[in-house]
Amino acid sequence: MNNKKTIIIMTMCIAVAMMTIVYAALSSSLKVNVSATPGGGICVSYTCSCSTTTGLTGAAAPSATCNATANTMTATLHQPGDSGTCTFTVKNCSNFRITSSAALSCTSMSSPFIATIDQTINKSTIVAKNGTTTFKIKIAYDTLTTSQPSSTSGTITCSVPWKQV
Amino acid sequence: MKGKKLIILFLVFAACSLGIGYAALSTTLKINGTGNIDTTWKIDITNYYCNQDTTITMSGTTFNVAVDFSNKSDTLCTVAFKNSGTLKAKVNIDAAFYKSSSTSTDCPNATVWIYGWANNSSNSTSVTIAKTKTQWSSPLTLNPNETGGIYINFRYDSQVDPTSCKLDASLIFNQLGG
Repeated sequence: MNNKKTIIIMTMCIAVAMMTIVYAALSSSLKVNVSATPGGGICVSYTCSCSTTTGLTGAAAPSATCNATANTMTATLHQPGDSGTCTFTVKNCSNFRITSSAALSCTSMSSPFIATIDQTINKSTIVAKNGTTTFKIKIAYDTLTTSQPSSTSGTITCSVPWKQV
Repeated sequence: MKGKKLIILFLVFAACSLGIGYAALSTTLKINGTGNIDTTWKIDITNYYCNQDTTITMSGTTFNVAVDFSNKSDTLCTVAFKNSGTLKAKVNIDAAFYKSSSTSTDCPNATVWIYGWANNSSNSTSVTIAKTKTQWSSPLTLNPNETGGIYINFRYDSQVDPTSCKLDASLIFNQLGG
């Protein structure tokens, strides 16, 4: 009887452990625009806004959009010198302070795109409860001379890990 | 035996706690950005040649011509290009003409003019080339789908004995709006 109970308890614990491990493994790609979690757990939410600058004159203005839920931004550029900048505001909705365990890092973009990151989030940036911090991603269309763009589309991925203080 | 079971249970619970702790106390925020360009920038060199058995050597947008004037007459060269993109282009030339044996010496028996044309000659400019690099003061404008080119006129001066001369030049294409 005792053995049966032990096996049942162990099976349940292993099941919980596996679920937890799977959750932990997938947590880096989970949506971050979640509501506050009473009693514990990191909670951060995004808002974002975008602006553009026009390079050369004589054509349609560039456009830039962002989605704070999907954590994406898209810049459509027409002329060399055009750029789109999106500002993401990170709000700490946890019940405790959080800190970035590494600086914001981004992948590079291929020519003719130039990405500029406003590094307001550095390693050890601390955000108080209900506090906010921002960072900007600027995607620009480089001016070229004789060389042709190697691509008409480019991507960039930025990430910053957070942990509870 | 009981002790062993207790140890196993303890380890399993420890693993549970670690996993829950990791998931609850850390997260990685990711932003994915995409840039798109809906215009194209493409200038093609479509043709280049000289008369008088003179050879023009082209590499990308840079070229050179060696002229020896042994036939005691002018030599004419042409470089043609097309704007195959959707952006307007500004076209200039950067060229130097010197004695083959010394890049710092004028070619003593000849002068060279480079004439540019674009949009069926409605926009043309010319410059006399010296031993130092020279550009047009008024670059050409080449609209999308338009063709243009340069004519290079090496003028021989019959009062002076022929001397070998060389032209080093680069076409410079810059983007314009539109």
